[in-house]
Amino acid sequence: MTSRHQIDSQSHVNQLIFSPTQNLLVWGDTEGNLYRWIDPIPPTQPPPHVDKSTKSARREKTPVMGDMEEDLGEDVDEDWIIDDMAGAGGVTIEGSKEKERSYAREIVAVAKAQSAFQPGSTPMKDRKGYLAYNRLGVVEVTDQDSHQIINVEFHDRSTYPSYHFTDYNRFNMASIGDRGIAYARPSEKSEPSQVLYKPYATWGSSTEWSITLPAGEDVIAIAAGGVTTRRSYKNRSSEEIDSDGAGTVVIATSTSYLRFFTGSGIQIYVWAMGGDIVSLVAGNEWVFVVYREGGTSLDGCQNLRYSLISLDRFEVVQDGQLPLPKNKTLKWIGISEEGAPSMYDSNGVLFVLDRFRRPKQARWVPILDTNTLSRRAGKDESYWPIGLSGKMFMCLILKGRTEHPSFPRPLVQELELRIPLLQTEQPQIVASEEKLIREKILLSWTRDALGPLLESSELATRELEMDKDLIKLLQAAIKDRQLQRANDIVRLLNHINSLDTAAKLAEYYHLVALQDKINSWKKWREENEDPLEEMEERRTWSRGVLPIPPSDEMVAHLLGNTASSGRPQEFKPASMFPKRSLVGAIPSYAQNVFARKSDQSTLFGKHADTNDGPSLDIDASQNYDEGYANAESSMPEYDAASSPPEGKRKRDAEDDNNNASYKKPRTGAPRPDSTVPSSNPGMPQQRKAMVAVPSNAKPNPFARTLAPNHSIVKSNTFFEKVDAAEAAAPSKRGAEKRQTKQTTLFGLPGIAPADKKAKAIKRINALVILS
Amino acid sequence: MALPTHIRQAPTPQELEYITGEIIVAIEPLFRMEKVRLVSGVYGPFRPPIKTRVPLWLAQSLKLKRKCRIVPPDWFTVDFLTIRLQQETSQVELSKMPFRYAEISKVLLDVAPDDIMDPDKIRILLKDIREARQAKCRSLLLGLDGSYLPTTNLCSMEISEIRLFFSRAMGIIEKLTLEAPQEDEAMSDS
Repeated sequence: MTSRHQIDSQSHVNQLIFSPTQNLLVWGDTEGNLYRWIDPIPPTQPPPHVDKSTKSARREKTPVMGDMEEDLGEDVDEDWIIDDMAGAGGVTIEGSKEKERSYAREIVAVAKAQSAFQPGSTPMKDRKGYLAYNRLGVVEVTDQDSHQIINVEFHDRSTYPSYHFTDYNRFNMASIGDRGIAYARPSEKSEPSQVLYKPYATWGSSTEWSITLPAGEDVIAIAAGGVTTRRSYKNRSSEEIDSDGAGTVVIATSTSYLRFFTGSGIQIYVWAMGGDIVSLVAGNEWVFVVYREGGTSLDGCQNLRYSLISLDRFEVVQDGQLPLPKNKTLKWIGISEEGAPSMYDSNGVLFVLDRFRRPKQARWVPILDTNTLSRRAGKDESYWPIGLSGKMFMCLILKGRTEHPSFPRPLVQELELRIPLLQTEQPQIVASEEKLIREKILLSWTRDALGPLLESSELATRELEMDKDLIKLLQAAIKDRQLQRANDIVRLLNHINSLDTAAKLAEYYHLVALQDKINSWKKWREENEDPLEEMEERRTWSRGVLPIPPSDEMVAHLLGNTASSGRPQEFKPASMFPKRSLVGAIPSYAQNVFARKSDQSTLFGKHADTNDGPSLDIDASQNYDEGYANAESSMPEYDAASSPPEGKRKRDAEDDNNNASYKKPRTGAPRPDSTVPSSNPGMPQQRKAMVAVPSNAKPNPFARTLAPNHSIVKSNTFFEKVDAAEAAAPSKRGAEKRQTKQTTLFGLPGIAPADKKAKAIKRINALVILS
Repeated sequence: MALPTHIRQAPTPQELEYITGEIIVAIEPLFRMEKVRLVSGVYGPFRPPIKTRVPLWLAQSLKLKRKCRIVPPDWFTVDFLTIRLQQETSQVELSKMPFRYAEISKVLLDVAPDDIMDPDKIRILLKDIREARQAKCRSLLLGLDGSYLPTTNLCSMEISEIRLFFSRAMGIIEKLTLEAPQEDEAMSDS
């Protein structure tokens, strides 16, 4: 006890508190008095408050790259942005630091928001710098006051021609794409922001183009994407015909817009992204955008989100949060050779997006922690990412504390990927587990990318390799008498033949229980695995987003009151067909209004089990350019109002076969669909599956030769229009009208579909029995 | 090897250099190519900028055509060679150098000086190392006797240098050593 103060009163002290700013103690008592004791703590003791003046001064730094030092004791990374927007900003954790030392502060600073950067760029040092550096090549820039010299070198000199040019525009952003290189610069005083794109291909005469942005809109980030070329740009006499154009250029502007251009400069889309866009990188199929929707958080979180947008249809393939640890910034983003987005943070950990082809299943997986690398022990090294292939991390190894590569260009090194697993006493087991996980992830990417194929030999060999490793692990587990573990390993085997090997192994060691388990597992697998089903599943991902069909009134309005104008199959709500099927003894109006909805629900309910997901509706509507003939040929079947119900359930199964032939595989990868299964999955099945044309079917109203012989109806109600339309042209609506007249299954013209579909007949019989 | 038997004693340095062509080095190819099957083996696929391992003769040939960049082996750095030189000058025995360091160094410095950091310094270091080792070899030969000569860490170039003299000298000394006691007896007899 160092000092004492006597309170001599009858009242009791209620609350007692030290002042945060001075050596002062304050208390209040039950009588309502407030007492202040100045200097309760004698000067010999440390004071109860923090002196603001003891805060250490921030280091002054000169704005030259060479003098950067790291503050070892504290977790603060201060980077100065030097006359170049391409430098990455640092995060100052003023908030938490201040909080620790001086709780006198009332305003807590938020983590500094990371500024936009181009992956692969460095700030200028000695008038030289890199604008872009990835697995394709390097863009180096040399500053010569009035102009810049931009030098582009490719790693693969046989395919791409290296070049250099004098640049009076002073570009400070560049992106090396598979089809060309895009350059950009923000606006400066009087010069507006500009974008330049130089494609590699030189056919079709001068192909480079440039565009200026309006005042007030600056380019923040740029990315050039496109399909990888198969032919050499240098070898003119190359045989392969490369029809994939000049790629796509995406720019992010200060007004938070994402502008898309085709490789020839056509402006093709504008997307108001909102928030701050931090970085962009484009690959063969999509562009990977990292942005921040609001601000950073108080505890050091950068709050970054990512979006994967496909380049051909501008659909959001994946979307989500970027798992940056607190107080760490994003250092690099890129797309791997297989199309997987990857990111590298300031902590030295490399993450990759797994399951990026499956809708809504994308998640970030750490695949390399450079802090645990064996080569790093005892050395001061940092790794500057260049690119990622499935097996190797390509980077530049920077010695000491250098943050950016300098000239002359260091060699690209490769580091083996290694998922940071926990270490146990048996490091070799952990190593094999890690190898298995990694291989499994890579295999799943290859499998997802199979698309319409059922299997691929490369996939099979890799799985076999993995199985061999698994069998070795199995042997180790059996030797250690860890039978549960052995059972788990058996479940991980890929090929069913490997299960035989496993069973033999168990037999050799006289482990009957294990052998039985293996055999029963094998039987289960044989019964339940179906590569066809998996292919179907993959196909469902590749369907695009189904547009929500408008209501009937809208349809009529959109179609301009004509019954058979345009492409009916696009706009006509497919729900018209289920109506026919569920026709019962429902009064006309009510039926029309409600039947559709109930149809949908039954269809949904029904299709919840089958995996057909988003429907073939989109196939129909999109196939009109791919296979209009298909659609057309299936039109006559509408009138075969035959047996809609007969068709329905059967068609679920049939549909697979039909669509196998109808669907044309798209160029490029399958596009995952991020929406829920659409409405009316049943619909187009009927359309497609009804092959037979009944003899008394009405002539195809959708045939081009048929002149629309409808009258313009002025009435407003849908049903009058329907009646009028029906009177004018026998069409799909004819079927509907028939519904309104409460025709039932049996009232419909007798149809016997051609006996390709023997099942159909069975179904009819079933329905006859049921109804 | 190409000389007639009676004067063929040891491989010449040019032959040694040719044999060294088999050693595998890493290159960074500047062209893209699938796996290629040559008589001596399958090489590739070549995917820039990922490094590929090929024999030195292939690396040399590609480099001359400017289709690759050779990655110097780990020991071919100023730091490593400086340490080795220190060891060489401080110890009596030969220090452990890569068996064919002389040939590999020659090829790399001839063909790919631009791929090496500080080639001049490395030349100087190598020269110093070689001279130190030569001095040691000479002193080694002084201790030659008829039966054996314990020595370690001789490199291929050094072996071929001393091989001719060494084998002949050893044979003669052996003969001399055998004959010596008989001569003594003969002399003592008479």
